[in-house]
Amino acid sequence: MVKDEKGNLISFEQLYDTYFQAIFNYTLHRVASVVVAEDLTSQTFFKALNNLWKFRWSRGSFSSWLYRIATNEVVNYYRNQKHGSLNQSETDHLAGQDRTDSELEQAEQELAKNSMFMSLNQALQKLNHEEQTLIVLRYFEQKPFAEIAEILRKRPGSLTMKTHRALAKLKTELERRGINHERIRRSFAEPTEAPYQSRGVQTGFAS
Amino acid sequence: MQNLPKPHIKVEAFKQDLRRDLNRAMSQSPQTGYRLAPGFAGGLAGALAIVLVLFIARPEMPARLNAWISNTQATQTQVAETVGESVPMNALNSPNLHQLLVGGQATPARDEAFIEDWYAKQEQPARVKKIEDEKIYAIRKYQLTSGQRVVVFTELGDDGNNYKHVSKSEHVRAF
Repeated sequence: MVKDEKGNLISFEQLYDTYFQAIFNYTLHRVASVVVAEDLTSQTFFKALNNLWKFRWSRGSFSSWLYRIATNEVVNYYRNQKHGSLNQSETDHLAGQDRTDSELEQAEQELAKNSMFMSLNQALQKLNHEEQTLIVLRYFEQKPFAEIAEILRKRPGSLTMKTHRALAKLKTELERRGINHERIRRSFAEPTEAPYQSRGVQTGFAS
Repeated sequence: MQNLPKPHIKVEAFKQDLRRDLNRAMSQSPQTGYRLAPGFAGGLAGALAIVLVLFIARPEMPARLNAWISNTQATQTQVAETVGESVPMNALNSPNLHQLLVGGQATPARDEAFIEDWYAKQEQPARVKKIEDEKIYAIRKYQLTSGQRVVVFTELGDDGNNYKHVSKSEHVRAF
């Protein structure tokens, strides 16, 4: 049980129901793999459960705390992958070991339909971890800078500058791959078969 | 970029699986902790009690333990002035010497064993050639009205009755 800002007791299960989808989406947007996203989501919630006694509302929201854990898990995943301690087959085994249903297959197929997202994600991998986190949180998860600052424990002012620099780097990387603003615009103007929900938007890609 | 459609995939089966795993972990982890805590506390209390009983039953144990841990010679303290040499503090704590000092009757043979054991603790062990002298003393303690305490050493004669006070000026001490 955890106390909320008003002192009411909330069960971990309630928190799990509230934040599961958000954390899964975030990890999916970071790693662009359903299997890995499931594994990272699982690790995030297990870590949250084991460290629940450390959490204090006074230091920030539960959501920010979960995003921070998830961010660390993503960074650890990439580090392990870089050092060869985790390969794709092991990850597949971890995530899918108890499931024989076709949900995973369907989810991977749905993900593959988002070709522009996948290209964008590949370009995103060329940025450093902090830049990737900033872009995903700001433009994919549409978090305000104040919340991003809370997640990353940084000052909002410095994050604005860093995000703009990261965007510029991403734009260069996309152009190097032959993806420009017009092509991105065309991609989402076309109807898509994937049953995802597109989200509200604030501004376009840095032009 | 914000307009770009992002995948929003629902994985309900995985969500339920993870919920089950988390519930299982939630139900197991506190019980394990609560089960371990009394056992750990009991074990610790038992270990402390054993140590305490050992120290009471064998008073020389702490000093031996200390010497063993520090692996250095214990502080030497002069317990008696014999021929100007000091005896290691732990010499008196050896089981043999302790037995000689506190148990049974004081006989020349026991004295000899005591002295040999005593000197064996020093760097150059020595053996007793012969008993030089033998005297029997009575030691009596008194308390004065002023609150001071006085110890009187009385040298007893061979028959145990003909006694004489040993030089008062040297042997009467106030604490």
